[in-house]
Amino acid sequence: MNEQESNENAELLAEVQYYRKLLDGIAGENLKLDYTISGLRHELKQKREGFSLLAQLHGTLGQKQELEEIFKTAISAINSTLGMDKSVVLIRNGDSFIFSPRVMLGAGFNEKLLMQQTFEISEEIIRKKEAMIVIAGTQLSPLQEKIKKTFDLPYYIISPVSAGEDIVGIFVSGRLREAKPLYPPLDSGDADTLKAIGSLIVATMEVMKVATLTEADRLKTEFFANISHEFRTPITLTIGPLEALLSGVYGEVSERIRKEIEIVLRNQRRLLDLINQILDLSKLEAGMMKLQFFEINDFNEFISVRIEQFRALAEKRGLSVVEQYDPEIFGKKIYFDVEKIDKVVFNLLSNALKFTKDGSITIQTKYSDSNIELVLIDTGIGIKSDQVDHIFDRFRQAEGSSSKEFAGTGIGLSLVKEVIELHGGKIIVSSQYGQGTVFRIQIPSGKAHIRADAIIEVYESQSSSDWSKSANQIENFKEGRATKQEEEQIEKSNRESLANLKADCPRILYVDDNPDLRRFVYGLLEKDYNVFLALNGLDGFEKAKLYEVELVLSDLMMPVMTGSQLLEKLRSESETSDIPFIMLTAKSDIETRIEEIEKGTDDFLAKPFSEAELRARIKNLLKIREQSLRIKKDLLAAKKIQRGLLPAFEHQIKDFQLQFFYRPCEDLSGDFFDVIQIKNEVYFYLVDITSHGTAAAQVTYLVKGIFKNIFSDLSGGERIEDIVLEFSRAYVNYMLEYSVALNFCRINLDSQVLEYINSNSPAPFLLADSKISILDPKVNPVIDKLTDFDRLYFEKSILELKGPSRIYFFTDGAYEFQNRNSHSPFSVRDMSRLKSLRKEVNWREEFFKEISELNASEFFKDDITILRITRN
Amino acid sequence: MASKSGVAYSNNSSSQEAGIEAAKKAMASLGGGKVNLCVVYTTSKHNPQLIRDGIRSVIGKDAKIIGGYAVGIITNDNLSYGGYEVGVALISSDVAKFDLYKEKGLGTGNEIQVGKKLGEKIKKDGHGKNAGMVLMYDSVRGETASLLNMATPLIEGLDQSFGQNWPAAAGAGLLGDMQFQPTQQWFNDEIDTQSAMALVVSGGARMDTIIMHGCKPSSGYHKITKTDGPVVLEIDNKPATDVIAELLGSDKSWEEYPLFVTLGVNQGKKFEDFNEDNYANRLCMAVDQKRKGLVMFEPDLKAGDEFQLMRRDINFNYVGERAEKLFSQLGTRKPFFALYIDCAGRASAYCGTDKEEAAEVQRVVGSKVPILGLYSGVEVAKVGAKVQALDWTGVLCVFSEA
Repeated sequence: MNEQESNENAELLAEVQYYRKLLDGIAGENLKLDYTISGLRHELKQKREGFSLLAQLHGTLGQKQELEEIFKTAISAINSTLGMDKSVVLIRNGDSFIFSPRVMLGAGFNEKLLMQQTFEISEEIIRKKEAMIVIAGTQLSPLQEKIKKTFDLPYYIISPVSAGEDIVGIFVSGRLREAKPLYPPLDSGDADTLKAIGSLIVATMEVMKVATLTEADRLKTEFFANISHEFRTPITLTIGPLEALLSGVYGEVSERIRKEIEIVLRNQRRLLDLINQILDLSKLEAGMMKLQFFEINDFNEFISVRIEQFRALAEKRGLSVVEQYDPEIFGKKIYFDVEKIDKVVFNLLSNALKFTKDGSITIQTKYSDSNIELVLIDTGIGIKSDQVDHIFDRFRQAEGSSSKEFAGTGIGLSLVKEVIELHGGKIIVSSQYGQGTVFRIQIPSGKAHIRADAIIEVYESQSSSDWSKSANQIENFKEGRATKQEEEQIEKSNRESLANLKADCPRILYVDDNPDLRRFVYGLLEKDYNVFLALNGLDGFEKAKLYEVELVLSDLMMPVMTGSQLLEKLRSESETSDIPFIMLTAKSDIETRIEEIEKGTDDFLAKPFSEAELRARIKNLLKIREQSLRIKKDLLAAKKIQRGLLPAFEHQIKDFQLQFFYRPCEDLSGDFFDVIQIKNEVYFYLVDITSHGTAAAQVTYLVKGIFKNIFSDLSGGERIEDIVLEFSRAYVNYMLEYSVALNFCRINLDSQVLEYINSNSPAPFLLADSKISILDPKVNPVIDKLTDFDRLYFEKSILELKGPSRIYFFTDGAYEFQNRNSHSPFSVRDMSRLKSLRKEVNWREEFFKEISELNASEFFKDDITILRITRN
Repeated sequence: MASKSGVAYSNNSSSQEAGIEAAKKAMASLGGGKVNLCVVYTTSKHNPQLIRDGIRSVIGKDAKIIGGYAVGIITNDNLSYGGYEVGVALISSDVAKFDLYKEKGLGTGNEIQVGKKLGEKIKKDGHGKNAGMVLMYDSVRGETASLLNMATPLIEGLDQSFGQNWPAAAGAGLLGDMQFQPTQQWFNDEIDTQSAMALVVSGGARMDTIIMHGCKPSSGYHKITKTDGPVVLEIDNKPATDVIAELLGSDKSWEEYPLFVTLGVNQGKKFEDFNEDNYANRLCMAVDQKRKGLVMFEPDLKAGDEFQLMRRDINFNYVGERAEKLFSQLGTRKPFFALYIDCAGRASAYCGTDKEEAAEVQRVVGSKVPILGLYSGVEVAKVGAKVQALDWTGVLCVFSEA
């Protein structure tokens, strides 16, 4: 090979190497491109699948009825589409922060076992409602660690499903391995998809709820329409004969019977009117309310006829009526359904009358922009600003509570608005609370708002008798606030009751805002009781104290203060807290009953009630009260005696200081203790009886008595095992239901040796050299009626008290308590950590403070007794 | 028609319901007749007992059942993977004979012995050249994700039994997901694992196969200089991963995508025009970080072998062409069932293609005959004169009768 060939070969080789390197570089670039594209495509696929998953779920979830079914469908789609291996839905257990698996899908799940697992989800997670992603390298919290272990799931997302403030469930969904590109580490995209599915579930639930409510609403309307028709017939058949009776067709009726018939008639008319309103409403709901149009040539005259009848009623109540008619209206034809507009006018006038105690009611008519306007202005109590927007809401009572200050059925104004709107008009309200209200009705003049095929008749003035019949109905409306006349009647009645007090008859207060009912109940009870009356809850509270009543009978729904509020007020003051209370109400549902019973009502009587039942309930409650007062007296006496049996709480006997801490959880304690010195020996014992109240008091007398007998025979130096044995035999002989936990101790003042026998009691503590140690007493039998007499023996423990030290004996109430979450925050060993036990002074106050904080309350369910022995 | 089949699919997440649903639909597609054979594949998300119970409740207790876990399912109308897919094929025939064989013992590195014993059983029943055989073995050894049961020694064992008398063969390394979770297999009423199973078709039926590769060389030649079993430790006397990293420049993220590294060994002349049939392609399963090696799906690459980096062909026209070629080879024979064993790596979500390669198979084959396909871990088919383990391959098997 010559030099040229050699050079050519070298160049060729270099060229081959160049192209080879270039080719390899391209191969590398291709490889890079392939896996990059693959990654991107996979990501895109996941997003597409996420969207298709949402679309698919949107179509299928709505067909599910139950929440668990919805979740099951969702996690099946999640696993399938998002490439998850396991998914679980945790559902909240009641109102707590504890969640349990309810729905799950994944290989290897033992569903029955897993459903018993619980997870405490922190309030913070619930509040934030954010997803948590666990991937390789995530520092696991205890909750995440538990989820990983329980479900055998290393990589997962926790995603709360929230509906407003509430969490309806928590998704836990994840994979067993991370492997790109099919199973890349879970990321925020996956979390967002889970969150979107959660939102879809909540939206589905809302749709289901609305559908259910709509159906319920339809059924309700149908029901109202049917039932209203059924009611009208019997009521009409009672009104006719009653009117005939009053008119004298069947002869003269006495004044007393006339009054009774008038009450019945008034309330029957009121009932009929309410039913008519409901019927109108159901017609409106069903779109069945047909208007019968009349042509009105003079709207001013139409209104003035109605006001004329109304004026007398208003003036009777001390209100002035101002009428201002716009002459422009004359000749402007207006078309409306007279019967319906009558109802509107009647409703607004009766409202004005109800809520205006003094001042005036002004009626104006106006014509502007082709509209006829009717304006009603009163100087009444007005409407609170936050309620103005809701004044036309159907079934809404202005206060939204059981107070009847503003309330009727919650139908009237709603009906007014709907009738006006049916006429193509509108109604506007403005009000200043405490100053008055203005209602402004606008109805278009002309025929533009009337359907072309509507039949129109010419209106001829209504006879005054027809309208007066309507106007009289205003009187039938139950007024919110009592009139002055009513207040005077009540005062008069109470004065008479007080003046004619029947010596052996209990005093009863009846609180009701309905004058007819007051009269009725008073008539029922006045023979056997001294009956006092009150207008409402507030009035009732004052009267209960003023007349020192022994029982309160009260209506629930009343203006100013409800029966429920009266009950709370009575219970909150010691003077009235134990007055028996009977709630009388038309609300007979179980929820109301439970609510009132929880507030402290003693009995509940639903309207309508029978006279016999009312009498029986009053009689029973008064009897119970009598017994309760007697027991209270007995308890007071027992308490005094029990306290009298206890020794002083501080004893200094030579080198030893004995200090007791004693806190019974009730008036009468199941804990008891005593100190007795016989020569150079000091005996003391702590007893905890498994009972409270009078039974515990009696047992403590017994225990004290047994020990007294035993001690009276001692001369010193006896074995304490024998003393406890003798006590036990004596106690067991009584065969009582209550067992006794006992710490029996003796200190020999010369030898400074402490001997103690511990039976079913907590182990004592020793504080020496700034260290607290739990002493380990000998195990001894329980002292109760099941104890085997032949095998009864006790072993003592001994402790020499040579140097400065402290010993604590206590009953189990000192550490066995639960906080409001039903957790036991404290154990007997934890007591050794209490700082208060090391304090020289004020240790009792500090001790109680410390355990109250742990208990989250100063109220304990068991008695607490501690004996501290200090060896100086 | 003496032989017919019905194929159906379900993605119900309840295993028993999925089994019932797929079997019922397959039964409807079959259009009546006694079921002789049921072939079933599902993803690892399903409970094998419940799947079996569901299917049995529909097809009765007499039909033979064979199948196992797969990454995904292909049928005439459905193609899906990674979810709750179930594919069922029911075959009814009074001319074809279907025999099932099983040999346990995989999972311990004993593939040759298992293959040999399985081959002996098949041979003992008189099956050889005239039969068709579909091998379905558990490809997950289960100890760690990087340890697989190898097809190459399994085939070697079978080869020791069959010698020159191999049946027409195809096969699948069963894999239930891309996370290499343990595989479950159905063999009549048994639920099994770590087994090699074979479906042997004989009598009046024949099985024809064709393979789809779709890989082209994209680099120059490199030489393997050191291996240890399936691990390629050195290339051109340098640590294997260093060589790959050198090709990719500074990008290190390739280690998260080892399955994209495909090494092709040209068994033809080194510098002649590209001929797909001359190439045996091997996929890299994982990276051995400690030894800087490439862990391959099969252990047949040895020191001295030259290879090229291969690139996947994103044009799937060849798929249809080759499927058509197979059907034209049948001549007057009547096909009654097609089985498609497709490498899971060929699924679009994994290989980064816009279209599904299996959709092309569906298009061409689905119009002719009921088809059931599975996405597998490893494929087995005859290349040239030898049955081989294959990667990144689709193997189409068509069952026909005269």
